[in-house]
Parts: sequence; C-alpha cells; structure tokens
Amino acid sequence: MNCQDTERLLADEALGLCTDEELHLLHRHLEQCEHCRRERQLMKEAAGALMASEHDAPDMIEEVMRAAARQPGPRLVFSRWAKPAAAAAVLIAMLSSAPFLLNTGNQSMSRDDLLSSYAEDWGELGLGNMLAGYTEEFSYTSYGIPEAVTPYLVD
Amino acid sequence: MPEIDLDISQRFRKGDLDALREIVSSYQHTMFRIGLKLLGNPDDAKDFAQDVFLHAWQKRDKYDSARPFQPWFFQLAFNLGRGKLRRRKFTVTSEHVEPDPVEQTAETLLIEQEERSTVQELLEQLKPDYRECLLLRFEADLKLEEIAEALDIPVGTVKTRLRRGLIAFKQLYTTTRGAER
Repeated sequence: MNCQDTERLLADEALGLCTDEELHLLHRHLEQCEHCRRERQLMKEAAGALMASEHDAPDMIEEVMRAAARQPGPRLVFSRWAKPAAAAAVLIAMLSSAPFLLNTGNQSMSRDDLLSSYAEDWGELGLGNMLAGYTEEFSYTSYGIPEAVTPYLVD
Repeated sequence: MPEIDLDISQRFRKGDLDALREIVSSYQHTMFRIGLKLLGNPDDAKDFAQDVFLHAWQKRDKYDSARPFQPWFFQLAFNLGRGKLRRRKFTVTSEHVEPDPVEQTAETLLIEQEERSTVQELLEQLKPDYRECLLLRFEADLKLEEIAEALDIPVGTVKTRLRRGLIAFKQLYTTTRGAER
C-alpha cells in the first residue's frame, strides 16, 4: 500500500466506511509511515469540524405553525402552456412597439438603432473580456490547494 | 430524528396542521444545524429552517405521499439552501452576534463563532453535490442508503462524493488552519 491509497482509506476511516480488512491494511501502513500518521490526524480534525454541532435549535414549532396557518393553500398550478404563452405575449409586445413596427426612419430610434445600441453597449463595456480575465486569474492552486482536489470545488 | 411515517406524510399532503407540527418537531434540530453549516450563524440558520418548513407546507401538493417523505423534504431543503447561498453572494452579509443562551465566556463564544464561520466558508467552496452529501452524513446522520434515496443517486456515488468531498474539505481546512497559525 502506498501513501496515495492511504489518503482514500483515511477518508473512509473518518466516514466510517472502511471494512475490517481495509482497517487492518491501513494500520499496518500507519505503523511505518510518519507522513500518513500526520495526514490521519489532519483528516480527523477536518472530520471533527464537520461533525454535528451541539447547538440545539431554538424551538420554532409555534412560530412555524402560526405562519403556516396564515398561509393560503398551495399556489395555483398554471398549465404547462402558461410560461410559453407569457413569453409569446412579451415578444409580441416588443415586436409591435413603435421602433419595430414603424421602421420608417421618422422615429427617434429605428429598429436597427435599437438592436445595435444593445450590441454597442455590450461591446463598450467589454464584459466578455472582463469575465474571461477573472476566470484566468483565479486558481485554487495559487492558494496552496492541491490540483487533485480542485475539480470538487466551485469554479 | 424520528421517522415520518406514511400516516403523517399523507395527512401533511392533505393539509393537516397537526401533521406539520410533527414534522417540525422531528426535523427542527437537523434543519437548524444544516442551516448553521450552510449559512454560518444562528439567526440565518433559524430563518433557513423556518423557510424550509413553510416552503414544504406551501408545496405540499407536489409531494407524492406514496413515496417516503424524507428524500422529498431534503431535496426541497437543499434547493432552498442553494438559492440562499446564491443570493448571499450578491448581498452584504451582516456579522451576527450570537445571543447568550448559556453560561459561556465571551472568549469561548468568539472561538465557536469563528470556527463555525470558517467551516461554513470552506463548505461553500465545495461543489453542492459534495457539500450536500457531507451535510447529510455529518449533520443529519443519515446512512449511505438514506443519502442515496434523498439525493436520488446510487449508493456507490454517495460513497465517492463523501470521500472526495471530505478530502477536498480537509485540504481547504488544513490550508486555512496553516495560514492562521
């Protein structure tokens, strides 16, 4: 057994998932590996931090019951066509607005002006580049977190 | 955590307030503690727990009473928790001072509060899949099979997520502790 296998078993031990055979192998390795004995201590401390707190909840039964009694019944369930119908209504309203319907050039803003103004705003703000910059700059490894665990952390 | 049996869950589905009372009584500590780990302070944890019960009450018509209550309830709680965490990222959070329920020194309270905040911040860095498995194991004290049922994933996946989640949490915890020392 090498130290990499041990990391998995140390986690399983802390989670109470090890079989007797795995525990036996783990303890044999720990007898001769100081590094893994230290890792075991760190794993225990981390699991200890996650253990259920002894903080009892304040009694909330009466507050919940009062609030529930005031609530109306379950919300009305709209048909599955409600959302598409609402979206269609918004689209119709937008397309029938003056700049879209009367693309005569006599309006203060033409259809093309309206669309291009959105596009220009976006380009001028350079949001795309800014976001790309953030993604590139941040990395867990620069904070000392091993690359092996970064796939399990939020992006 | 007492089991919510079929009778209670069916009465809950029909809108029986006594059934809701039994559910709140059974789960209030677990939901509060999950809220504490997710959000880091007792005030927010209490709000979270109450919101979970009221949300469940409002959505009770969505619950299939032929199926176990607990998985539906935990899924609803975690969806609510994810939403709260997302919203918190866009708002300034206030530092809550814990009320003084028992005879504890100010220093002990401060240390506890700091430790809780640290754990909450580190858990928030884990992807929700891993965070929720760890919370169900450590806070709700569920068995692997119960976690699998609650999250609708195979038991093997639960084991993998718990293991990877704990290893990732340990790395974060150790790094933070190392930086503090």
